[in-house]
Amino acid sequence: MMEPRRIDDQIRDYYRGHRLSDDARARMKAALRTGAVETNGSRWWWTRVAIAAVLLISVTAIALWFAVLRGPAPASPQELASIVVQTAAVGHNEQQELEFRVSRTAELREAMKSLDFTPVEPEVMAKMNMRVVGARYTTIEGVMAAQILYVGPNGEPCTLYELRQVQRLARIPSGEHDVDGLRVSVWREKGLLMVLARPVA
Amino acid sequence: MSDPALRLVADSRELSNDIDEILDAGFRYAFSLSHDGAEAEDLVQDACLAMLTSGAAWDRRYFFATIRNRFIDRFRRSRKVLFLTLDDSDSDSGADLTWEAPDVLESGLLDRALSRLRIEEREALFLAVVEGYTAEEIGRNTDRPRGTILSILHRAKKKLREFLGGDGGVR
Repeated sequence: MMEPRRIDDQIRDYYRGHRLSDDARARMKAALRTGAVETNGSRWWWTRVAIAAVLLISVTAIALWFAVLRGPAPASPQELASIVVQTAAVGHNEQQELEFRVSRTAELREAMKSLDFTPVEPEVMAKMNMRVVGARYTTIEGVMAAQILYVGPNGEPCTLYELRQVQRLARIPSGEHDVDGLRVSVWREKGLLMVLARPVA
Repeated sequence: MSDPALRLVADSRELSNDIDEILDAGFRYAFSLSHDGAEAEDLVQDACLAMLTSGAAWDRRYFFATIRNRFIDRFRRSRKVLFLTLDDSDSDSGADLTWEAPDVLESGLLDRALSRLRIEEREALFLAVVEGYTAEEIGRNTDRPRGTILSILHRAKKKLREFLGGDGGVR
């Protein structure tokens, strides 16, 4: 059993435990060195800094390209589901400010023009007597999503996430999860991935 | 030494011993903003590049400010809500917010608790607790009045205490 410790000490240790990865460190130091050596002389300073920047971007782009092609081992469907569910729960609890206030889903279709899909109202919302209140843009696992706030007959808030089914998320199994005092449901409807976070009844 | 190129060379030499420490500090600051390792790494890299191209002197606070600006730019692009306006009314300097807790670091509970804080709360907490800045200094660096910073710090600690359990119990 660990002894209790001052919370400030634990916060300090928490952040000090985070360090830049060796790869990133080497890349940045190389860029700084390049900048220092190649900028010796003012006449060509901007040109050389620009060259260094282009080189750095190129190396990063090539590294990213390889990373995408070869990539790390893909997360299992369960791991992906866990990440998505956790993100949905945190988003529900944070209750960030809405970008659009609406009273009907049709208004969302008009308002959320930047989405690469059309937001729809899942059948279950009407069955649960849920009323749409507003929405905001968000992302889940790097995929753009609509975060839509609904309110139930007793004023209880539910947060629905709708996102396009990209290949990476297609493996997530449908199901229900209990996390942080919330019930998070995952299912597919009308070609979209739906994630609903609501208080456990 | 007014020539930016010469200044950069000199700064880089002076910096060589401290570069690891400054990069790590920048990474931690970026992490306190984003609470995401990959995004924090991107922010630090962007900031390095920005400082390199501007030829600015390597100064820890300037580096932090560059990281913060990059972070704000990214959020504006993604149209997310960033820093919220808070009033100063929640400040309660009488409250004991330096409590002891069981080891919430190893269990991952502290990580989860910090992820629940608002960005400005995590940022102020990091600058105060880890970097040792005063509320006055944090206010200067984040364009907020000292009273607001005290209020943000108070709320952050209060939320952590509620989540972690203030009396030693962990919920």
